[in-house]
Amino acid sequence: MRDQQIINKIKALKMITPRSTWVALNRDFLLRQIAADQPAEPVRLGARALLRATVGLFSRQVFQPAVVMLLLVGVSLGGSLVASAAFYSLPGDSLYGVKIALEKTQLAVTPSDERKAELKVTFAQNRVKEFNKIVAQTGVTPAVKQERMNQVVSEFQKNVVAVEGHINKIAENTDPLDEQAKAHTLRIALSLSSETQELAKSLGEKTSGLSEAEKVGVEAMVAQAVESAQQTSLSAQELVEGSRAGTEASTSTEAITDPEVTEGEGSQPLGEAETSTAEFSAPLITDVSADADQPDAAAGEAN
Amino acid sequence: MKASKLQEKLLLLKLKQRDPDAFAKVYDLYVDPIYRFIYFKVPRRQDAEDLTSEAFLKVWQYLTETEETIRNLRALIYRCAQNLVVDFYRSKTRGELMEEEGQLAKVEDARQQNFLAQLEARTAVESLEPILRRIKDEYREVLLLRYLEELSIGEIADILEKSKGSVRVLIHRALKVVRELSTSNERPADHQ
Repeated sequence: MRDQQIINKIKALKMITPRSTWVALNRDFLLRQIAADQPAEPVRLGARALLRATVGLFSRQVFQPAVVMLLLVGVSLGGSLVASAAFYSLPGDSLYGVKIALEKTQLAVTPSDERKAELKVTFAQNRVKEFNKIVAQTGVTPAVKQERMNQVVSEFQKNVVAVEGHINKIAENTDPLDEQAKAHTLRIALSLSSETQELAKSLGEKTSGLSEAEKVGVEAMVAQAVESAQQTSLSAQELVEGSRAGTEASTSTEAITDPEVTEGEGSQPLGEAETSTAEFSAPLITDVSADADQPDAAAGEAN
Repeated sequence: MKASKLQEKLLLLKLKQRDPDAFAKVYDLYVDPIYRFIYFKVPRRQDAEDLTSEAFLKVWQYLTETEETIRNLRALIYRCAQNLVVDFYRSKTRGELMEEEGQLAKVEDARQQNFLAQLEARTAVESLEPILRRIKDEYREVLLLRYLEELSIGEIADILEKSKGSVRVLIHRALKVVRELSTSNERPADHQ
């Protein structure tokens, strides 16, 4: 017998099938058996599951080194172009969503609360800049302008409210016995307090450039945002008070009091914080001069 | 009926999420091939039915409990079936098997005659079943998976946990053995 004949005969064995009654009965039996541990609601496959299935299917091709290299180059080139284009976008532009998404991504990859709070302050500053640009925009209808301003202001508010959340977290996480940590928290709180104060102030100023008709629409919202920023600043101020109360007791009187040194040694945000504090928040001035000791004391101890 | 690869992956994901509909679909897709796979390994139709049923239950239990990533659903079902057949023979003592084989001769004859009658009525050729029951397990498996279930070499390699090369060699040898056996059957005088 030739191979082909054998193969044909093997194919003929397809006739061997289970009894159809058994197949049906057994189906019911099995479904009853598994019914005990099935979920209550019907299962829906999410986008993630579908993506996993597709990636799994092509995983062999996808993980070829050449393909990976191409993808990497493509993604990084395309990505950086889009990112830089998005950076200059304003509400109403198609890339503005990308800009916000990029900021969120940046936040998501930032582990520490302090850094997150600082980032959000930076984002809030971006919003103020955007607000500025929208105010200066010509050739758009007042309705569109107002809508864009509302979008920016609501993003701004989200940012400052989130900063407040971070401040509370930082306060919770600071070990009251760890002097260095407290000094550090103090610096962060000072910087945040002054920066949010500044934000509130500059956003308030910006509305003055608007025409009366434009003002009516956004004024209430801006006022609310300014209030949020001030509230955040206040929280930071409370944190300053709390940390200072703790650290003051342990700070020796010989600590160096030269603010120049502090500014030189401190990180950039700290330097800015002190300057802006001096400019915008009169009650803070005393705090700064008193608190400028802390980082130095810490540095001195470290030395 | 053969499931596409994507369909299989989706079924796999749904099974992981304990979807009974997906299980029913998997059952419908694979009950015939799995039954046939087991059918040639066990003495009685009843055993084949019991083990087939158990294999599907095992697959469900495994998929809903394991944390491992399963690459190939079909291979998993076949492997569950294979393990159950091994357990089936392990659980039976030698005496039980001998006894069953004695009784089996009659049942087997009746079954084969019935089957042959059907086959001859349609194709007028002699069935390969008796020959397939006589050859080594792995020879029979590769032939059935390759030509009856029409699986690719890669899929068979996954199911039998062998390399593609050794699956090809096995198919070649299996065909040779079946050829020899069928030739000797055709000449009853040479039959040992």
